Amino acid sequence: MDFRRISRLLVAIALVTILPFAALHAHSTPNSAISFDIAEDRVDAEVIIPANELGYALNLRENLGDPSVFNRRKAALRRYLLDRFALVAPDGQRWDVTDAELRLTAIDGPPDLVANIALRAPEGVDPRRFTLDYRAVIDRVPDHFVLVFARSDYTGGRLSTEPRMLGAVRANTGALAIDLGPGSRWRGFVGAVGVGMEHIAIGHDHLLFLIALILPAPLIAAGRRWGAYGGLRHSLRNLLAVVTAFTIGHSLTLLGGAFLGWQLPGQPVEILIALSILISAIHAWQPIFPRREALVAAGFGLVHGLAFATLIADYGVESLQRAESILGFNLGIELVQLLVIAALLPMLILFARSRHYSALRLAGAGFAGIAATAWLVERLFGTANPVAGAVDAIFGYALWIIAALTLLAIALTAMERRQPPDTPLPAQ
Amino acid sequence: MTALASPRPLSGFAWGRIVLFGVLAVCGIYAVYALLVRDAPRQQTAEFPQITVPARSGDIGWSDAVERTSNDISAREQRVVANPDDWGVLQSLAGAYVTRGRLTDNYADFAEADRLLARAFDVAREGTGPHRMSAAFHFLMHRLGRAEENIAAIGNYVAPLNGIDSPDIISLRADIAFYRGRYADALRLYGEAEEKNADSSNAFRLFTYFASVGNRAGAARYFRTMDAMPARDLDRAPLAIARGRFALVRGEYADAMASFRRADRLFPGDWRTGALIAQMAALDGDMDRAVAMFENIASEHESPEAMDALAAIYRYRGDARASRRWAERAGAIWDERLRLFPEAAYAHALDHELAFGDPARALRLARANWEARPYGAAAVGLTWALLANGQVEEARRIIEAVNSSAWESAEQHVAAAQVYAFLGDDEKAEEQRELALAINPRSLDREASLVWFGH
Repeated sequence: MDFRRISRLLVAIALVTILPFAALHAHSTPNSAISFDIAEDRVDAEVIIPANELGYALNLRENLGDPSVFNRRKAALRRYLLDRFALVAPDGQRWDVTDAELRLTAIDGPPDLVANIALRAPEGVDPRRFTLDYRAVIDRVPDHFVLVFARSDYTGGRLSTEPRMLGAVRANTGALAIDLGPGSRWRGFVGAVGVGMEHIAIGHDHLLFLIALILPAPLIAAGRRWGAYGGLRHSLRNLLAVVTAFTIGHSLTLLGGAFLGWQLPGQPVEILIALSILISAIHAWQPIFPRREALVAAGFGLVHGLAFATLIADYGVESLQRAESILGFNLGIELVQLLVIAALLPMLILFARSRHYSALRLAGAGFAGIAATAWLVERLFGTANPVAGAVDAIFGYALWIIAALTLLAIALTAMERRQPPDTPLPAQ
Repeated sequence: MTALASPRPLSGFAWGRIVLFGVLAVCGIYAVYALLVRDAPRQQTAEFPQITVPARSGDIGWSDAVERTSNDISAREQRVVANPDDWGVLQSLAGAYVTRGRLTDNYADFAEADRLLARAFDVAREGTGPHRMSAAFHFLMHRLGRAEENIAAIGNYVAPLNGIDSPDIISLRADIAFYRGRYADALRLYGEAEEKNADSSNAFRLFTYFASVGNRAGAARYFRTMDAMPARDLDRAPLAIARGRFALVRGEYADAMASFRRADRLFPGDWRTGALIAQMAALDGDMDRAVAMFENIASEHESPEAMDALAAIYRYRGDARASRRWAERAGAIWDERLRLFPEAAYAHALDHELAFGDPARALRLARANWEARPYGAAAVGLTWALLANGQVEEARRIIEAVNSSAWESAEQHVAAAQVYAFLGDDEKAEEQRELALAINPRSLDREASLVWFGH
């Protein structure tokens, strides 16, 4: 074999062997997941096992994802699972299983077996420290693993729809020791305040509704146009009325949603919220309900409260803790609202006293109107749009914008003060 | 307090200004969005042109190629009978066996090539011998040390012509550096080889290098270079396969399937391309078709990868017994291959053991594989095996080293996410999941367990 031929062969060998970049996903077998909802003296566990992996572990020929197969084997599967699932207290006592329900569900892809297991801690045992002894599937399938999450944990001060990963279990990792840390009702309450603050701070639509409503608060409506600055007392009275009415409105439906089950599907509520901002924006542009801002704030507050109630319901808080969590949540919302008003107030008052306020009001109203329209389109058709994305991005710089506008308002006020006293103020 | 303005209806001019203001505001907001929010559009494999398939393509099919090589072997065997002590003739026959082995994946051919090369060295005079061929063969068998020994022997040749500085040997040294995890050295040597001879093999190597380190622009550049070079259909098929694999590991399944189909038309009948197409059918949810194709490949070619793929599909379908039956058949073949050429079989057998076998054995294989070729993919395999054996701390050390190297793949981040999950580090696990999804949005899908062909 001559040199050229060997070289060609060498090249050919390289062509087939040097292709390492392709990934080996065969390792990524579907995993099970266990999510805990932690209460004061009990834990609700949701165990999700891919039906095919369970069938593989049990060495079945038939597909457990088939509802008829599942129903026929349901009782046996329940026994199988409960034999391999236990929470054990630090002193070795096993928690009591008070209820266990199995069902088959297919959310996104192949079916899963979902087991909801209620467990109660033994008397006198700290319910926030236990060991998860879990062996289903993993005792027979070495590459299967189980991710373990804490979902709601009110007494731990965690109210979140985002599960927190506690760890993972595999055949040879042994039982998973779980220590959820200290827990108390006070922590839960503080957590709820935090959630309320976070929700309103990142809930740009709620804030924009409020801002659009308070934009014309310092002004006096004159027919179909906004007139001149009504003075500090007028401004503060209007602001207080709007904020209080909004609080009363959303608190009512929040309570109703949480305790009386007042609920609307999410989409209509979200659409109504976008609509409320649009109406407030139009009103800020040109008065359409002058001197009835508080009434409108209360009315639309009812709608915003329904969205808050849905959120609280999603946290899976027990009914006994619900009152505390709602109180905390509402307090968080009010705190942020007050902070926002406090941050906006100097700028609003200073601008309102100047001849430049109508420009600011129209810009604000225009921004709110565009944002509301973008959200409306997004929520009506269920697709994201760039304008809505831009609005959210702008809110990321809200503090800087407020600070800049406040500085501008101070500068303008100072400049106007330097003007000769006989310079007439232009009509608004 | 100033006097109130008298109310009056808005004029047409005023409404015009409002509309103008609205339009300007929308434009302004869109500009902000474009600057602050919009992600760079996700790059598609489309920047790699699809391989053109001529109307009359695939003149030489896989069966023809096997037949020709078999004829070649017969002819060269006659020459060996006539010249039993000529190392050049023995080397030539070994080369023909390697060529057929590459086509059929039959390890018996490789074993014969190995035996013939050993005999060629026995009869060669001091300072001569089939070092070049032997280096390539050992590299193919993942024996990097033996390949390096042969290259070193070429370096000691008295006549420097076509010696250690020839482009093909520099490229081979680069390949070895790459599989030793010395990526910077590999890139330097690939560059050196390219300077001496900018041919398609160097372009292919550089494409592979850049694809492996996540440099998409570099990969695209060399892919286009290769694509522009004239080549036979037979030689363009690997290019189409490489393109398909590139798309596959990025979760662009339809694009990958299109590339594999083109490869099949360029070099018809190659069962390895058929296996890739079967795999894409499975990923597309057409399990019946995938099973039929894989069963055909498994029975006709005794391919353990196809058997493992079948076992995975049956597992996915919840038919445990069929899954275990195929896995057992594959396991027996992997054992035989491990006996013949352990280094070449480690990585494949590791996949098999991880999914269907014994975790302790998987770890032994992973460590041996890592020792043989300490590069990114082997490190990721070792991470999986360590995890399977509960050795999470060592798995973390290994995968963090991969993440801080030039190696870039979705799988390493999937593995890292699992390591951090076992360590209870939710934040890092989520971060790694996001990195995996950024490379391959399908990397966390359940169907990912069906991907067996991709080595």
